[in-house]
Amino acid sequence: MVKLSIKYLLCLLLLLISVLFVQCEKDIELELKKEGNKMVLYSFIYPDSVFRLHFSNSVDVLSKDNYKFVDNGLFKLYVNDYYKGKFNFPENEVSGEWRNFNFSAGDSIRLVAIDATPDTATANTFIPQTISIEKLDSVSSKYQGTDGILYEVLKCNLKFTDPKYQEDYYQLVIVQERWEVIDDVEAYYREVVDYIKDDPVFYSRNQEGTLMEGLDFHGMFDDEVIKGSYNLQCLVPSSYYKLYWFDKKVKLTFYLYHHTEDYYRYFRTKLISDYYNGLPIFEPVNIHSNVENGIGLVSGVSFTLDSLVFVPDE
Amino acid sequence: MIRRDLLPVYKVFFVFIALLFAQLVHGQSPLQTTVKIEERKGSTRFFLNQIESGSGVVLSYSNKLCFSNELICPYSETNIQTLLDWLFEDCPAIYIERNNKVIIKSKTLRQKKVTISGYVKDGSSGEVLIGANMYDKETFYGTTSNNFGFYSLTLPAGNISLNSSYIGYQKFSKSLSLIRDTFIIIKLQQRAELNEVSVLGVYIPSELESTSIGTIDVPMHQIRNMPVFLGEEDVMKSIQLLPGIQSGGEGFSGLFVRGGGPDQNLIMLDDVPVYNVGHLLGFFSIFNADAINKVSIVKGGFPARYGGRLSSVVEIRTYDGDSKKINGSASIGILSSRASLNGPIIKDKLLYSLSFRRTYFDLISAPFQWNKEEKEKYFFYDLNGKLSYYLSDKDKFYVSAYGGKDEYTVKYNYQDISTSNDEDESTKTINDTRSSGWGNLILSARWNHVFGKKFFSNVTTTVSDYRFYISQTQNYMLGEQWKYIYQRYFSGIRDFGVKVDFDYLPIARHYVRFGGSYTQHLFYPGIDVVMSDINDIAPVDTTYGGNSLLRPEAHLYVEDDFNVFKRFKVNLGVHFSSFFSESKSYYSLEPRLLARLLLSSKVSLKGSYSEMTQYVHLLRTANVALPTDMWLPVSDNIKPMRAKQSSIGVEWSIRKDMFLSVEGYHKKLNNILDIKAESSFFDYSLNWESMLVSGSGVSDGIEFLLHKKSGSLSGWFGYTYSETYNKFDELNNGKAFPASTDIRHDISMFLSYQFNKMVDGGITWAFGSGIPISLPSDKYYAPELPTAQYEEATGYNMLISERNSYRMPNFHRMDIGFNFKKKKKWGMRIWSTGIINVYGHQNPFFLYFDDNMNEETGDSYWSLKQFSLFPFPLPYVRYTIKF
Repeated sequence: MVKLSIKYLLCLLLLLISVLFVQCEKDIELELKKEGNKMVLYSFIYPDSVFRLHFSNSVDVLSKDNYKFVDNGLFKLYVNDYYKGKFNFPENEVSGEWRNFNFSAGDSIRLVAIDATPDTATANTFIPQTISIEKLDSVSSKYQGTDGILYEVLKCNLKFTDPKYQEDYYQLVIVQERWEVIDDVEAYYREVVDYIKDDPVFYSRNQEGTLMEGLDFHGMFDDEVIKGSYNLQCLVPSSYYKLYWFDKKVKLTFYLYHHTEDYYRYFRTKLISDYYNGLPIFEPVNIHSNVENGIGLVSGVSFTLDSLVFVPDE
Repeated sequence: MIRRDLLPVYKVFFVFIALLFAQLVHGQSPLQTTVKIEERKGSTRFFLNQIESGSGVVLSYSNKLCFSNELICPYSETNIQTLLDWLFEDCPAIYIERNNKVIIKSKTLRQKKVTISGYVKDGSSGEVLIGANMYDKETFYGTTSNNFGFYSLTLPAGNISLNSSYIGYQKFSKSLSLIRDTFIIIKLQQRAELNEVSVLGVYIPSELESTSIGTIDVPMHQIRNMPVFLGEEDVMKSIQLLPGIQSGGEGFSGLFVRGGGPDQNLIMLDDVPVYNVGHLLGFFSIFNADAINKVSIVKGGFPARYGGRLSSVVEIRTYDGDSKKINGSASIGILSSRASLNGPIIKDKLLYSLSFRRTYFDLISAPFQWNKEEKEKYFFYDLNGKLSYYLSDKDKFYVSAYGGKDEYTVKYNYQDISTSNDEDESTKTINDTRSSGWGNLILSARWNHVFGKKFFSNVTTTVSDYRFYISQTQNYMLGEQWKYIYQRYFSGIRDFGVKVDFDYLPIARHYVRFGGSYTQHLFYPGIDVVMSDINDIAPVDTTYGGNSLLRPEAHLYVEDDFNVFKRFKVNLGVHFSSFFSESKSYYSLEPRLLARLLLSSKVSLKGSYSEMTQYVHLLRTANVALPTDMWLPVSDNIKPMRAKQSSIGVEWSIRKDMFLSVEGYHKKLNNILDIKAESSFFDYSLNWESMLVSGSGVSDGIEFLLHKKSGSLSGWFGYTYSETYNKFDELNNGKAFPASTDIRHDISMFLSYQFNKMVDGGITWAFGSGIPISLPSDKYYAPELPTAQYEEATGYNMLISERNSYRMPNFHRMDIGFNFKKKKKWGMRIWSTGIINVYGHQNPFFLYFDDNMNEETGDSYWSLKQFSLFPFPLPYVRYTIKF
């Protein structure tokens, strides 16, 4: 389905104005505040998974580099308000693994980062509870695109229950795995499915219609229109599950991520910020951060999964 | 024989008898003296003189009695009293006899009032003159003609000296003896030295007399004298050169008025609100100067009749048309051509006015794109039309319309395809198309009626429709048949309104206005239409979305402009408004007060207080005006924006034609809206309400205007210092920050010089402090997100520590222009030429970061760059004929 790109047209229009009116560009001297040196932390914490950390310093906006290594970086970890230990961040690295920790869903985590200055940055997060996929149904269907053409799709219904009395943030990611055998040579492919997001949870602003090209938030949604048990509908184009003569098996795995609000906001603002990159007529978008006295994102992530398997008829 | 001793007695007796006889012969009451009227036709004064000369009786009278210019005496011979009774029968007088003298006084001089009313018009074309001053030179009671040229002035009966003045016209002065209510159409003649009066005037009816503060009239002939961008006369650009008003960027038509945003201005064309005033992203305004009669702007001190926006009201009135003869003009410029025609269909009864403008950049560029695979086309046009029907002096009807559109089209993917039918086979070329456009359609129908002499009414019905659309047509082959898909998105606003206004002028000291309006807003936040011939039967027309929002808005007002004391005048009023959202009703009662104190005959002190409420707001796409900007109503969650503004000012008439005004203001804004720091217009996953944050703002400023109104050299110098801050709990960590409209220093200068009757020139210079912008302070690491569906990582993020903490470089530009006129048999031709940006200053359009290469070392580095439009002197030329 073709989307109308307003961004494309605006760019062309600006280009036209430039041609029409004659334009020029030049370096200007504007006294920029030389900031930089802010502590930058990242960590995406999964239950029962390796605890990876990022630690770096920000740089001046005019710097050619994107970051600066941290000297004598040190982390302190608190889980459910209990001090769990410290971790010396490796020199001249931007990521490190802090082993011997096992987190569980529901854990609240406080991460304190200290550098040589010694400045301290703190991030608080938690690991959301996993939300079970209670049921996964699928049925072959037709989908009429805005171009009027009927497309063959797999209509999938994914049932889950949204916890009451709290704001929850989700993401549905579908991964296709394909095993092929051609001339006795086995091949394996893995691809993220670009499914049709026509469930209301993906488009609250439905007044805008469907033709305007909006931002794709990678299947993220909140529970604004969800009350308790919910059947999330998504449409998987046939190209992702159709079996060819050489296919041995196709598997569609549905990952239902349960995110923190911080992750949700960081993800969205990052996408919006990148979308506007190169278009200075738009007000720049600040990317969300949950690091006090620093920048970045420390967030717990949990997920459940279910899958559909397609095999050739015997 | 008479006894000598009795002689004195006889003398006395005879004297007594003589006196008695004389009394009998001559000495009856002077009023009873018979007078023979020799000439029976003449004025009151003529007959009074005849009475005096014919009777020997001296008449003493006040010149405030009722005098007539033409009377025919019904008597050939009668006594003085009868004659006087006849002469002053319309305003009874009393007569006091003193010996041989009669003193005539008006019996009801203080009680009787008469009303003089009518229209003020251009003497040659019959076009009404809006805002013309009308006053009695004797008493200094005065008024101004309203938006339809109507005036009404109630004065004590008697002799008056009626004066009327209007910028660019000869002063009208006539002595009248007011006996009864009188209707007069005043026809002012244009001054021969019209072009010498290069004034963009602060509207001061009777100069210092008016209570108006922060109100400016922009006469159209002044706008035509200004140097103009690409030769396009532009109302909005001219307004931007006034103190307290800025453009917000190079070339834009948007108005930043006293710290307010561009959506806080109510711009009305013949009483109809216009929602998008820009062609070509705002580089040109939609108003064709050929069609416009009058432009005025109120930026503070709002009388009660205005409402609906926080920062300004711009009223644009179009020409009715010449009532005597057909005339018109045609003009060719670099960017566009235009033509206008107006005149009577029925002389003095039914008039028309038409004007049309279109760009031809698309026509010029077409040959250069002949062989290109992708062809672009851009054009805009606007068409104004008006019909005026003067049924009588008391009833006038008007119908006016405006239609304008911008369209940008890209054609690509050209293919030659074969088509066949039963008989033959042929080939044709098809292409895919992307198109974007926007436009306004404005309609109004009005009826003016004058009730008696003091009551003027205007009923207006309006339609205002603004649309933005973006569409795409694609061809594709299905089987062996070519098909096409057409998709279209549009958004906009459509208003249907009715408005009733009354002007009531009971006595000279009062000017009462009251009225109301009702508007049905239809907001279209986005509709999709899809058409396809896929079924081979008929195109499928599918509409998606369609959640139009119907929102009613109503306004009522009453105001009185009156003298409290001789030197102290106020305009007191109240404006009531209401708006209905989904399930909530909003109401607002807004007091308005304007006051003027005459400190001397040359200095007046003025002050005002007004509260304003705004129920619609513009969801802006970007920092510049884009057609995608969407008008949206207040809702259950989004409250109306409100403003309280107070101002105080002094006006000093330095000379007869030179004024200095100093005005300070304080404006407080509440419930103003902005997009959340973490949101975007293109984020369709959120409804638009949840993208907005509500906050407050405050703007303070002082404005100076030195203004020379006439002479060979005329013009003005304006300076504004202002500060505007906004504060939102959810933006900038809750700290106040400079608003995007915060332009600290603003200087504007316009000078016009009349070299001779055929050549005039104008020069403008504008300076503005840089507008605030947000720039990132840090770059920092950005990891690939673990749940990203596909990789979009740029490797780094940018941090904006503080909102609007930087400012663009200052803006300044000088433009110069000349008009060379020549009279022809058929009328006049005018060559207009000039240079925009005379000294080639590179003004910032926007700033951005970019990679650079050091040519010596080969090292790359980041730098902040400025993008400028027309960075060097840009000449223009336009050829105009008028007939």
